Amino acid sequence: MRSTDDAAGDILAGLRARDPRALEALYDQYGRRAFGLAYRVLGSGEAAEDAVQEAFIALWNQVDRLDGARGQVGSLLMTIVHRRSIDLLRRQRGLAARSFAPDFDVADPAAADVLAAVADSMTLDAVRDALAALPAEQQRIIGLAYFEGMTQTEIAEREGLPVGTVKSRLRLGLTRLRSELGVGHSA
Amino acid sequence: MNCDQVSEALGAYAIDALPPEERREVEAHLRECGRHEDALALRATASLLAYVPEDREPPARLRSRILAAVAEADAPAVEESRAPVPLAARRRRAPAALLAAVLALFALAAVITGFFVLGSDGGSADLVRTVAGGPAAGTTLRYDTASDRATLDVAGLDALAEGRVYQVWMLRGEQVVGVGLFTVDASGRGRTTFDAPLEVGDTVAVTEEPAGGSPAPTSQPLLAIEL
Repeated sequence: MRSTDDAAGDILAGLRARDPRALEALYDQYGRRAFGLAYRVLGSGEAAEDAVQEAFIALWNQVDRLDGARGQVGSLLMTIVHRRSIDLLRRQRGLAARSFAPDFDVADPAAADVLAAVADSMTLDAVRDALAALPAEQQRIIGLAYFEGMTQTEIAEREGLPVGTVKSRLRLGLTRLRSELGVGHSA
Repeated sequence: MNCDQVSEALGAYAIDALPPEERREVEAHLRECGRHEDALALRATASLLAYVPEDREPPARLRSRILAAVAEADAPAVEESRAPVPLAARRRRAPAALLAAVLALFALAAVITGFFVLGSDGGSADLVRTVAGGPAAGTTLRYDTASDRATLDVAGLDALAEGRVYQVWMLRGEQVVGVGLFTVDASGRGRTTFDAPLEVGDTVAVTEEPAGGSPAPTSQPLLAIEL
């Protein structure tokens, strides 16, 4: 039996060789997940299609940046899908583009390893359950930041909270998620 | 920012909710200070949120759309070109006068020739320019017309002093718009991605500026790439 690592390695090797079949394989593996994320952010099938298409093409064009660390192709793809979706959403709303930190999962192999170790050892339900277990006010603010692409200032205005409170809730919420999911503790 | 302020901001940093200037302050602090080893884990945690939404079946056409777009966009569209605008170490603080000088410099530049690939439907295209000679040789600008998103991979720039940053400008006619900030590593390499509706004839340039960037260039361009 082949492991998912082998399959991911084949996809990466194929992408590097500019073999469109590798992109097909990646799409078959991640298309539904990518579309689910884009749809969650954008709330429209048409816009989600655009975001997913842009993300796959961006990945295709950046494949030389991947160094083959485990889980990297999938996590990079999902990162790009998220950013493209937020970009599109904010453009639709006439807001300035969000400022993203550099793609950490490709810029920093250590981060990619952390992520891959977590993704290997955990089911997706674990992420959903951990988020659902957070206090409602932390969940809400994490959702506004991640799925609606709002900055801390925008969240503070919308929720009628001081920016410091928004910051605290983001920190507390993510710290608790991290600890529930064991991110960084096993690496 | 002090250590406590950075610690307090790490959640917002991890989930990309900080305004750009505060994000850069946090990043600068993280590079210097070893007491925030949870920053990486928090970022990894935030990225796992991508897996929260339920999977959703995309329309069948999306698969073929993507493959067709890749087939059209896929061309190693990099062509050798001549050296960029010569570097000028001189720095001035007179934005208006300097801006004119910068523009004149660009008008003279005509530095880079490139290769333009357009998909047959005009939809998905990539435009790539690579600097072939001079100190910034290897610097590459990629522009994805489908998303109006450009990526500048810079090589050969000097390490920045404390409180300085490289700023990217888009120039069209007399219009000069700051589109992004970046720093470089010890080897002089850096990458920045920005959204800008670039057109053939526009110039993308880089100057050195105070941290946080400037409303208009305050120093002479270190490289200029004409599309």
